[in-house]
Amino acid sequence: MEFNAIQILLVGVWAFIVGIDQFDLLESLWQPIVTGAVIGAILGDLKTGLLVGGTYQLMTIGNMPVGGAQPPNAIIGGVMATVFAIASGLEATAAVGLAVPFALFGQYMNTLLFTVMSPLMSKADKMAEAGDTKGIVRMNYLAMGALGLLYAIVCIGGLMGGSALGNTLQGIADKYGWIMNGLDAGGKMMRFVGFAILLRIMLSNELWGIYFAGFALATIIGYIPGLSGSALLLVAFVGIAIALNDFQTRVALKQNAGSGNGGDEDGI
Amino acid sequence: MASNENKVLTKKDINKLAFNSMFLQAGFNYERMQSCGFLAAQLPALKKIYKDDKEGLSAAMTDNLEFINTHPNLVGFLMGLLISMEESHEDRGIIKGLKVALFAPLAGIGDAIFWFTLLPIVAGICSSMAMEGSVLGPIVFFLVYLAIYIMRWFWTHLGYNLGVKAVAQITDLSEVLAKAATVLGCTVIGGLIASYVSINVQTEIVVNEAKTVALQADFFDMIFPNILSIGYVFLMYYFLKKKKVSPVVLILATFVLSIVLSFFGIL
Repeated sequence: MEFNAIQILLVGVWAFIVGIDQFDLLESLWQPIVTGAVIGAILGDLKTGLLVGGTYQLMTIGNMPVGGAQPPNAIIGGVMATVFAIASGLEATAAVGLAVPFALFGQYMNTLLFTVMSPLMSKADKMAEAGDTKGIVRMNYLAMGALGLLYAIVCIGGLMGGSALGNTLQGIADKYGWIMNGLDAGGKMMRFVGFAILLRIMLSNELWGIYFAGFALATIIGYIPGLSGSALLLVAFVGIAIALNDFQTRVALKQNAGSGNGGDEDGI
Repeated sequence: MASNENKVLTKKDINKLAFNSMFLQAGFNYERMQSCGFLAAQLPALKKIYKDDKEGLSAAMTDNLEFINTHPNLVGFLMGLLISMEESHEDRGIIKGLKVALFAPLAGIGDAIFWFTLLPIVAGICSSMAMEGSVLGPIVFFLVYLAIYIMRWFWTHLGYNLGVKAVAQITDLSEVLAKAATVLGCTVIGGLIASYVSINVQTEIVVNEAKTVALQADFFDMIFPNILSIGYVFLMYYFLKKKKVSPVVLILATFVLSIVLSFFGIL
């Protein structure tokens, strides 16, 4: 499948914006669910874009840039998955699976960029010493522009490479169904790695109980026809109730402890 | 506390501070993390406060260029607070100390609320809509995050208006608040694991001519549905937590495993 110059340009512009948006601006445009739909619309297949974006978003829950760590890059992964699905007609899950190596490449690209940026801070120190406010602001915007440009270039390259691969990929998909089926299964299972990453950070010993409760509740609701679509929202309501209760109890405990012995002996 | 005569900043300046806070991570790097953007956002206000006092400005700039890593959605609160102290010309040591004391708890609250709780819920629900082909999926997702973005103005003004009063409350409540958010997050993650059928074993064992046992329907689902999903999460959790295996290795291993299993017709 060939894409025209305007489509390629638009993909580049969008990649420039979301390359910046992953750390600045609205911090939501870059997420696969939005970017998948936009890239799909640009390439003339909104429906596939929505499907791939939703699939990728779900897979990527848990792979988050928390505490300065870089997860597999969802922008490059999401763009490539959408391109694969549209140019080669792959199943959404298989396209998402196939895009994972590119997401890993994006992860290393970010890591590299942040490392290269580090020595610039000594230059920033000098500006601060001299009270050079314009210099600091300029450096900030330049770094942002460089990030966007990098993403624009990589995504345009990915789009052209992906569309050139189009028929070849389709041929492979037809010939070796088990590879695509495996990618499809792997794409579905990858979200479990993400959940495990989240749990590693979140789960303390006393939280295992409600974690299982959430699982059990969603399983039960999932088996009730007509309710399965709202399972997650309903589980969240129960979660809010438990969290509020937990919050109130802890605040009350804290206040009691404070009035009991004068209060200001501990601190973090 | 300084009197009102020292106030040089207007509501507009604080609005600008909130707006600038969106470039917090523009100069992100591994040496100082968000420091470049943190300073750049405060510069217009700092310039107004210090006017011709070159030395004061340079001292404030140097302090704010030190390492900082906090939550982008909540950083306005910290900026507003610090700017209110700069405005009343508090001691540099106190301002710096407060910044260092507050950025990590704020990051903790922000991560617990935005990354661990809100994102799984919103992304989970919106993804389901998108996968059914509804444009509402990305639109609702975008609107929720737009609302969070607009909240930055509220946080920044709150930090500026509360000033030093806020510090005790934040340090007091941050732990409790983060904990409660984590409780909600854990419930939702548990729910998310069960919400999508993700592992479906195809293997069927032929017992005799009259009877075949489908491993998924007749065995796993009989114990309880989604047992493979939660089992696999546990396996990954074990490797991450106890064996310190890198997530990248686990992702690649997951794909290799599923392609191999697919080759043998198991998945």
